[in-house]
Amino acid sequence: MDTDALRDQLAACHEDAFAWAVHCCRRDRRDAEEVLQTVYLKILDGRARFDGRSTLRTWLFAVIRRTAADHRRRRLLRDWWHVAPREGEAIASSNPGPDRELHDSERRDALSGALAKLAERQRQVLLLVFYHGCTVEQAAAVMGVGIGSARRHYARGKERMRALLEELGWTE
Amino acid sequence: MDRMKREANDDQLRRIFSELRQGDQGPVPPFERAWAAAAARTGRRPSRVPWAVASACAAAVVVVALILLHRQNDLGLEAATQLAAWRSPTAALLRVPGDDVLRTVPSVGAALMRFDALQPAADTP
Repeated sequence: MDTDALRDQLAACHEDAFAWAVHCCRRDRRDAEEVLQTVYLKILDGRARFDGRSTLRTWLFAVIRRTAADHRRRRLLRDWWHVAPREGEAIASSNPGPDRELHDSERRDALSGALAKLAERQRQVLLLVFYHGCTVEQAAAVMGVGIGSARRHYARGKERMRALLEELGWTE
Repeated sequence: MDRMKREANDDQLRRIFSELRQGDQGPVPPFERAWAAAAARTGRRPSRVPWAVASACAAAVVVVALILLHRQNDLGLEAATQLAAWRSPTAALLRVPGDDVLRTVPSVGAALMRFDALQPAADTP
């Protein structure tokens, strides 16, 4: 696939890709933007290549997941070394800002809280299936695990989520 | 029944996540901006020199640690050899008569004492 065609397809998936990046970055939109930019950079310089073994969206989601994990590790290492924060970072972390205002609804906060209590894999598979509309097979490909493992995380995640929602007294 | 319950649970989760999705309709940074920023970063990969320096330092630390450990091992071996070579000055007092009999394993059918003298000689009438 040539770069222009790939670029067009990536542009079509951009909104979804950003939403997934936000989830992979624990709802930090600034980090998600940085991660997505790194993903595009990887694609441009050939470190991430689409080989057509899955859909472009599945492949892109998998690259985003890995890049976000790298990003998180680097962030931890940087914090460990006490390197000075990036320009504007201190302001961003101390001030809730407009992004934070998105979570004003108590229901959404409660749901986000419940999701945060799930194990990483369980949260990922539920988000991929119920939020992004992937199949469990596609979720397995994105997460880089076998289908059996993805199904287990899916079933356990649903059970745990239901229990958490019951604890919260969730009503529709 | 179980399947119906499972499907009801799935539907509930679908509705809940759709609610979350609707609430997440925040501004998405434009694709053009992200793509252009990535394109601008192409070929500007961070220098590998700091990593090389860090690796060299780490290797040096490992080598020094290995040398120190090796030295400590040598000291330990020497001490162990000395300890094994030590003999108590009163060890001789612990020897008792017939000591060697106690240290050997007797074989079945063999007597500890020889009785050759009691047997008649072959030429005795």
